[in-house]
Amino acid sequence: MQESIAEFMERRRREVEQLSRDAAAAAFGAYKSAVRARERLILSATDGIAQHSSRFIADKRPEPRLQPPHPAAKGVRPTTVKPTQRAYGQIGQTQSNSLDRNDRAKAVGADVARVAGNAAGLVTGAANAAEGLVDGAIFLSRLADPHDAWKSPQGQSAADQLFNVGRGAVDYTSKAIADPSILAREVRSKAHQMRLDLDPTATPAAPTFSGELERNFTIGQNQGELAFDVGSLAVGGPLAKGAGKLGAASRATVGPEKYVAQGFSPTGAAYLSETYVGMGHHNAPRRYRLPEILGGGPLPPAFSDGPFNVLKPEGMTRGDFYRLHFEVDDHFYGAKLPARVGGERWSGKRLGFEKHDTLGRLWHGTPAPMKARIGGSSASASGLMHDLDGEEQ
Amino acid sequence: MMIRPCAELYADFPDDQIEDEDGEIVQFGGRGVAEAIAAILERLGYVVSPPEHQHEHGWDFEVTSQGKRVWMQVSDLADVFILATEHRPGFSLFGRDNRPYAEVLTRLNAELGNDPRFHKVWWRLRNDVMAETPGASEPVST
Repeated sequence: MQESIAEFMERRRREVEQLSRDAAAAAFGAYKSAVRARERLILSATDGIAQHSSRFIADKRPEPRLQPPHPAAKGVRPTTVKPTQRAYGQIGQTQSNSLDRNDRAKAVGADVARVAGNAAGLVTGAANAAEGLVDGAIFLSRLADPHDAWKSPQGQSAADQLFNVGRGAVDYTSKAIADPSILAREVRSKAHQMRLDLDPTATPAAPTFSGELERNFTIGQNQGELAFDVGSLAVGGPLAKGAGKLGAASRATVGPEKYVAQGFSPTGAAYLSETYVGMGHHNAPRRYRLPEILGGGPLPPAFSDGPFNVLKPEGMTRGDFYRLHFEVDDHFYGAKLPARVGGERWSGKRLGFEKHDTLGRLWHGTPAPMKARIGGSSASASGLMHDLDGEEQ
Repeated sequence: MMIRPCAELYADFPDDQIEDEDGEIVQFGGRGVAEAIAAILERLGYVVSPPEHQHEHGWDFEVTSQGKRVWMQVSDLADVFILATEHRPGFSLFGRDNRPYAEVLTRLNAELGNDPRFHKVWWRLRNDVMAETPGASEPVST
């Protein structure tokens, strides 16, 4: 029996609804797989989310033939999401079915995939920011340390590393000044690539349904990661991420000779050249008490002894940390070394070191995660309050 | 009125820094001196909290005078103990009244002078602690 126009429309409506459900299932499956892949890839490589999502979809399809890569899959992306090595159009290529030919179904599926990609991008952005905080904290603290060059092997200070990065930028800038067309071309190229990465209308739709899902998932993911970066600007997200990109800081190796030169015995110098393992410097002092209006009592340990309040640069020697502690803490004057190494006195004043002024203490005494979080422009309010009312004369 | 909030204490007290079998410090010295000063202040009628271990900083405790808090810390620097103090009066619309703080330090200094365990007490400004020059014999000057 021939179906009427109304029946035909009803059947097509049901098909589209089913397509929408299938697309949602595929997209969320790809999202979950992407998140799982992200967790694994933190230890190895950062690419693979889009690849993983395509694998998810491809698992339900016959092995595809290779096609030329989609434009949005090539080149440099504005975020850390790496382009997939597979072409969007290749997936499901051999099964050219009604899904591939149905533009409305592809549009519905693409919308769902892009939303799922947004969520995955947000997760990726947050994960990258967290990585950046951890990796960048060491580098930032060294960069903020005026004595880092003095404590680091020649040419390996944080400033040297940054200089090397900067030198490349200077070289590039010099070339751009000499030939402004370079800059114009680069800007055009980057802007074009950014549009390809973020704008679904900037690239043609993939020929297959699953390819279109993947294209939109990847674009959505790029959008999501960019959204996280922009949204977290006020709280230090991109800064932390950038700090991580500056590269892992090299461990400064300081030998005991340095402390022998300061006048310590060989055993005392050897002790001071060991890695510091103490409780670190508390930016908001442990002695600080909350105002009565806030309930009084000490600061919550989760904050007081947490990474946002404790300055304890990784890998720093005891001798160097004592100096840093002396400079940033107005109530750390020195310490006695263990009896096993002679029980000598470490006194910052006697060694000729000077304490930083209030702003210097706030800057140099603020842990790198806190600097990253608040942009490095100020330190905690409690630390400031402590410093402002600390002098009695 | 000028208050010197820190003092170098040259005193006879047993070494109470505790190290483990590997020679790592598990408790920094200064506890004995901190407990002695806390006991002196209690005898003078102040409310004093028990000294607490603050690692490299040494030992600290709080003294309450006329409702105002004074924080004190004792650090062991081998042949000298550093007494650091800080007035924590809290916020007041009428400015800071340092007289109770000055009184605590002055009375403590008098007691330290009478205690045979303390040979010499030099009062200093914070940035002058462990300077080569002699300190002041009094914590407060006008």
